[in-house]
Amino acid sequence: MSKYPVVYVVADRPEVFAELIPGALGLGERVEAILAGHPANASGVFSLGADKLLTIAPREREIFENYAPSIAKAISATPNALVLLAADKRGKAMAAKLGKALNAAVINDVNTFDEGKSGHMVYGGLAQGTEKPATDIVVTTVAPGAFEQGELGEGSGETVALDFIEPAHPITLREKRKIKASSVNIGKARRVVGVGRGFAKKEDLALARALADAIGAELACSRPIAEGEHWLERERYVGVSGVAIKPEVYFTLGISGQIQHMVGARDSRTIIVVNKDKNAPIFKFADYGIIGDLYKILPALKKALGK
Amino acid sequence: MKILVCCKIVPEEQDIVIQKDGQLDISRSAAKISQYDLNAIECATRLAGADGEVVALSAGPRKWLDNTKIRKDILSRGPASLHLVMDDALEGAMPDTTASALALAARRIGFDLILCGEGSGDLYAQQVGLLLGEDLNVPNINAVSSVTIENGNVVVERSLEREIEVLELPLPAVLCVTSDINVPKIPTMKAILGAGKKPVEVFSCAELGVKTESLSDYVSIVAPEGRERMNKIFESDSDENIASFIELVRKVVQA
Amino acid sequence: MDFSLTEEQELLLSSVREMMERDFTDDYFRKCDEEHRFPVEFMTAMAENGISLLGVPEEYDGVPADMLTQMLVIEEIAAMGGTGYLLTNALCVHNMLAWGSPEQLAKTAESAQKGIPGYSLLFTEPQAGSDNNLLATTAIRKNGKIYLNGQKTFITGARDFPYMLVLARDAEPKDPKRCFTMWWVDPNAHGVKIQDLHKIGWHQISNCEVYFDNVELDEKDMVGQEGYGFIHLMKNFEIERLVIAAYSCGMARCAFGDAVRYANQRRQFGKSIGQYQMIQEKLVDMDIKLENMHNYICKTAWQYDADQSLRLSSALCKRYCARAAGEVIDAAMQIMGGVGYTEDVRISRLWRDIRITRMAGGTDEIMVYIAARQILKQYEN
Repeated sequence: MSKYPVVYVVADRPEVFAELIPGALGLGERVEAILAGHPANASGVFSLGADKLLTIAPREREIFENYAPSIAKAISATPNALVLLAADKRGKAMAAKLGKALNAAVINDVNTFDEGKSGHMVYGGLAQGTEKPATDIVVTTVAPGAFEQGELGEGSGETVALDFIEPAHPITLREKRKIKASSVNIGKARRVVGVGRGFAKKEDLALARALADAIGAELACSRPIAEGEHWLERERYVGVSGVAIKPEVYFTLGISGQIQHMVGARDSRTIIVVNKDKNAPIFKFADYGIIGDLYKILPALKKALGK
Repeated sequence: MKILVCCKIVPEEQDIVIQKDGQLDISRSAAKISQYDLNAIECATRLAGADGEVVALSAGPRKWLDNTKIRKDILSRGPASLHLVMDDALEGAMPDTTASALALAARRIGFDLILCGEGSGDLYAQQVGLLLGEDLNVPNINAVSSVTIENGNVVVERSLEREIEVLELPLPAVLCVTSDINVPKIPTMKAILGAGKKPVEVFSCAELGVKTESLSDYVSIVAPEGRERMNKIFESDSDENIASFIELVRKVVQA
Repeated sequence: MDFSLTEEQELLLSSVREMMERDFTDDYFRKCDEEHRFPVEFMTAMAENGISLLGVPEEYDGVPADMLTQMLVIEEIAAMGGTGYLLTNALCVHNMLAWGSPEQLAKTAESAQKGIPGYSLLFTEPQAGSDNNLLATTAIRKNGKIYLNGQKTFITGARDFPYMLVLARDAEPKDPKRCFTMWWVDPNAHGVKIQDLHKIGWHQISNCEVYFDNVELDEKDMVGQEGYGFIHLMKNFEIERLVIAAYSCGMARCAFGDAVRYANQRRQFGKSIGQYQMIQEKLVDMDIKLENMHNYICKTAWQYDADQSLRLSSALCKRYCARAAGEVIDAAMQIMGGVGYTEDVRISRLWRDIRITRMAGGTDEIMVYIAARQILKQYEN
């Protein structure tokens, strides 16, 4: 199996290294970590197996994307390399900038790397597309869960400070507001209760929450509940552009079962469906299902399962 | 202000047939405007207001663009005119090629601001807008969830996973808007009936000098195999059915 | 003959479908029906998008469209479970253009902008329906004013529409053969009393008895030409019948879709009931009727657009569609079995609501009366 001489893992925060370096080790001869931030925060990359750490001292009011020219210059030292980034919004913006600067192919949301080819979902999750880049440097953002996660430990190794190169069109940061970080990780939950449009109003989600509490499950939802109604956090939304879950049991309550949702749920071991619409596509994916009224079935279910 | 809004024509995913070997058959799929681009069009028309000009731009093969109905569909959503890079060389074009076609056309058309969706409904590469900005050598950013114009600059809110940024970019610029920046309006009857009267201009790749070889290509697109499901469905919520259903569920949960 | 829709028609229908799917699903109409409530949000949205302004001229902020397009839209709304029968703005404006005063036209057009048909039509009386000679509501002139007395019944929208158009007998007719005149009445005027009728269906619109007790009117409230009330209304009825046909067909399509999906899904004795020939025969005959209805409506609308008379065709089309739609919906209920008779499914609502179409706009029997005379005349001498 051919490996890249160097795999660069590029991050705006050290947690990304724990997510990507373990997988990066199998893809390259060497792994170099690049951080836009203080080196002190990233010494753990060595315990993860990185060979080298490159850092750019953080600058006041500079967004990650403005570091693109500096990072591109560091990578351009290698003629043949794979670049890995987290598949978040920042990662994707950075990927495009690096791709252009390095004349490299850019592939987002990669879930499989195989012999120089990269796979990711297309057509709303209906199919898996596999791309073969024609460039010597390839920039990818890596879908959550594609690699085994590691732990940031202590360690030390070769650390190089990179110079900041002013971008041609710097973007000015006026203001930054933290979003209350959600600690949920439905991707790892053993049991998940998912809610959809079948719920008439936000207060009614209490019914689903009660069931989830009774069986020790995480609450999840379909896209409209997180993005249209904003009834639940984005982190709880299952689907092609949300989270992929792999629980032992997935309860879908009032979820119609569009392919975009099911893509994120299809690895569930058992799928249990409650939906009043007998024609909802969700029933095709059901192990056990009942056509009926959520408001009647949920209390009974909670009563029977909760103890 | 002249706002150029980019949209891709994609196959209606509901018409896609998965064949036995997992290959996708899109030959029976109707053309539709990629859904995320509807947000960009809506954003453009709201931003332009009464004084601004919104111009739509799309690139693709004749199969999708040589279609007066889809052209009217785009124009019924607000743009005053439509420009197309229509060339069969763009069949299955990869993001870098599409971006370069759009960039060359955008230079011809002229613009103050370009808006794109977060990604296309078919390949969802989420790169074209950003690469377009890079190709045009203008500031560009993704994940934009609100846009205002202030003294010749564009001020955007950017919704990231962990934070919201307020950024200022000088014009001209390229922005990729999120799918929840707005709820696209359903075209009005009047707008639909007026769409056919708006101008459409067509370019070819040769005219613009688009190079159609890509930095990457698909080697396969295959539907994954589905898991076999038990498919035990109760057809009504009679007390009896609920009891039997609960029994089955209890076995799963308590296993 | 080209049966394809224009691209504009396809796009219009796709907008209609999107709006219905997004904002006006069955839950909405079910609730309005349950609460006996006029679907005002739906009516507002239909006007805002211009859907219910199709056929209203541009000068009145409408959206010019031919009759065929208007009927396709009404059919489509009904096919998605919506109250297509309330989309009569174009007809209201059209009437006022033909015989209303500028003020009456302006009021109708203003109401249309809000999506609400400008007026209810007060024609039928307890003792006089199709036999208009028995109409007893009178308009009498006294001291430069007009006074209206009498009683009307089955008045659709009397509570929901802002004005009333009342057909009354002239107490002192200039020509005994022309003794009916229409009057524009404000339902809030002194002497107007409205009482609801309690119906088995059509709960999303009021049907009322209306009493006039010395209601004072001015000469300017006359609608159209004195003594021509009935003649004016004839053209209105021709279009109204076509509208009834269109929403009947849509309602039948709605029930048909539900029944076919059910037939695919409901299993008995080890197979879906759609596999049984007795169900199959129903489905096939229903489908034939749907096709016939749709084609008849398109043809009649096309005749209107081609400036041909609808005198015969709209009566035939309405008679056929009201009956065929009733048969289709009844068969759909039969296929659904007991479920179809419950209020959990919309078939039951469609089944209740379709029945009125065999009475509204003239009964089945009156359609025969109107049409047969025309048919016989064609073969005279």
